[in-house]
Amino acid sequence: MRFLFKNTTPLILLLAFAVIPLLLGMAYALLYSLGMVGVLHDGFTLTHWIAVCTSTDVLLAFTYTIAISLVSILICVTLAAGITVLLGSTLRKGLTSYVVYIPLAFPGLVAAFFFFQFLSNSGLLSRLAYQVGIISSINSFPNLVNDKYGIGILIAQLFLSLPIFILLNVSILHNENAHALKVLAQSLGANKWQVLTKVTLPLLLRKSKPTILLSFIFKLGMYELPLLLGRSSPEAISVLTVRKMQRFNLLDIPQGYAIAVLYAILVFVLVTIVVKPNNNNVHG
Amino acid sequence: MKTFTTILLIIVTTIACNNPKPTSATFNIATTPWQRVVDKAKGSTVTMCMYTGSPKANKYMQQYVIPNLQKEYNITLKIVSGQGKEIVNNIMAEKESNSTKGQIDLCWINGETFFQLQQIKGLYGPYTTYLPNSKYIDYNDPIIKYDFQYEVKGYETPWSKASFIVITDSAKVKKIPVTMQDFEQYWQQYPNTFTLSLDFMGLTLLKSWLVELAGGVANLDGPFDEAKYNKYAPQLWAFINKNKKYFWKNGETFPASNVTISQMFGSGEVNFTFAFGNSDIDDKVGEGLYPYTAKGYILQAGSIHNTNYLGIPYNATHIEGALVVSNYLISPTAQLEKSNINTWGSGLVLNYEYLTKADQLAYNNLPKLKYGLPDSEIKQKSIKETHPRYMIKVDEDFRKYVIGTK
Repeated sequence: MRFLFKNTTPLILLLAFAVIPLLLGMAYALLYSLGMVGVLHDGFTLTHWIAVCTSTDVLLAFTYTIAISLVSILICVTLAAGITVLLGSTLRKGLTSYVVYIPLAFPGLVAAFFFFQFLSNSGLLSRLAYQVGIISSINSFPNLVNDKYGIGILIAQLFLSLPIFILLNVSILHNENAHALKVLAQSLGANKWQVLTKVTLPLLLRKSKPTILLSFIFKLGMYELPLLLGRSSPEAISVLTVRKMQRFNLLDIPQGYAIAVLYAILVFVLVTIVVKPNNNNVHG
Repeated sequence: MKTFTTILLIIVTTIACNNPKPTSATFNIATTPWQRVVDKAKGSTVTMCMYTGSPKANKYMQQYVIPNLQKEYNITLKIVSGQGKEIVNNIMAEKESNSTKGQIDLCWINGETFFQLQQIKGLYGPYTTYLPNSKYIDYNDPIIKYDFQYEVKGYETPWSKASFIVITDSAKVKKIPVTMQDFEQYWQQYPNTFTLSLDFMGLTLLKSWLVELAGGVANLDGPFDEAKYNKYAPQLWAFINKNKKYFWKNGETFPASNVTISQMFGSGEVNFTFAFGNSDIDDKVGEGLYPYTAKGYILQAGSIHNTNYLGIPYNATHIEGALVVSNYLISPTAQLEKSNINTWGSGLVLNYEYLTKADQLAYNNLPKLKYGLPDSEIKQKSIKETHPRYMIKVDEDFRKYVIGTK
């Protein structure tokens, strides 16, 4: 408690600009979903929650979003580690050091449009394949966008988040003096494989854990990419929520709020479970 | 912590329970002479919320309407971007917070938005009969009198007429499918070249087929009829489910918006796209997006025809200004300029017969469309929108019975 009083200014700022607005928003969403506010509300009811909890659309959306975010983060972390280890310090100088920044300049929506234009059946890649003679008609080009496995979404996400992880890894290796650790391990008799699996990778993973988790949460909330590159079903959570809130049926809005509350609970649980034991890592 | 929770609860309940009281405008249009309205509107800034995705519509507003309003009435018209759901969300939020000075003074809406705004009592009115230029409008024309089967009752000013048109590439599609049976044949012959979007446009196509199954629009006229819907909708889903394997991506997914379909039509991935408004093809061919062989046509059911309107939010800050702008936008000069395909090319909402001889002549002399259908053909085949409940049901059930099934 004494600790809190000592640092009241940041605490007040945090409360005023982050916690209170967020809690108010959450409370409002909850009340809306229970039919207690809103222009068309009819008083307390659980019907919207029952509708949401029994809907296969909602279950599918949660499963799909979590699954695709997990796969995406897995691919991203693996590739980033691979690239960092392989290219090492060249990533810090010359042309490569600029190239890794390029994707950071793309907003999600622009990336979504770009990949749609690039990977769709009548897209650039398909036309190229047709001209070269690899495919006989644009319809025989493989489904890379709006496809069953979310390949388009995964590619676009990888494009957007890979540079962040590469840059993070490069700075971790630099700050932790990985080169010295490597030399030390080798002088103690470790071979290349042992250096990689026992020193470099554990170091990278441990240090980037909070970023991995935050990035996962960020991916859970993706909207533009699945809207444009995903399928009509299953939908990403945010796409489903927005649809419920903005479709023609105004009576569906409370359901949209209920899904938003569920999503917020999911994120909250994730943050408390995974971040808490690693508190030191987050701040340190 | 307890105090904190209590404070939070108090704030939330204060915000949440601030139930809106019905607001009444400070002035009564029925008893105010029009000149007084015009005088009061002078010098005001009217904020109009409209869809700004059409370069031609923007050009008309920026280069014609805005300067003329400034010159003739000393009104500054400020355009903000937003349509349908954004307008509804905005007015809903203002209603929920009991705001008396709304941000929007005028908005461009169509049937679904009108239905939603009427549900939340979000519109000012009735007022249209008091606009002097209303004399050029035939309010008994069913396509104007009813917006999605709801009687307008003076709560919105008709602005343009638009029709649902199917666009195909005549170079690729030799036998143009008009009936559902024609489509079935076409799909089997040319698989993967047809899809529909999950927005207003796709829903209008589905409704057109529902009308065809019902044997004509007369059968679905009037309020929502559950029994009729339950009779024809399952036939529609069966028809689509039977054929969707021939659709784009095997009918396993559908684009969220018709914009995507139009792009795919332009790039040759699909052979059909859809439009509301007859001049769309000429615009897109002109822009180089559609091929010169693009051709518009009307389905068996007819062309679902609707009017789009201008509405004034219940809490508009500059009601007088909004009224003067509405009146200006339905003046023959502004409407003729808007109908010109080189300006905007949007359908005239005024009754031709009510125009002066000079205006009729000016209208007849407007440049004609090259790729779109003649107005006379559209007029002949146009049908009324069905009740909005049909759209809500079709939207829900398409997800349930088509997308959700293998």
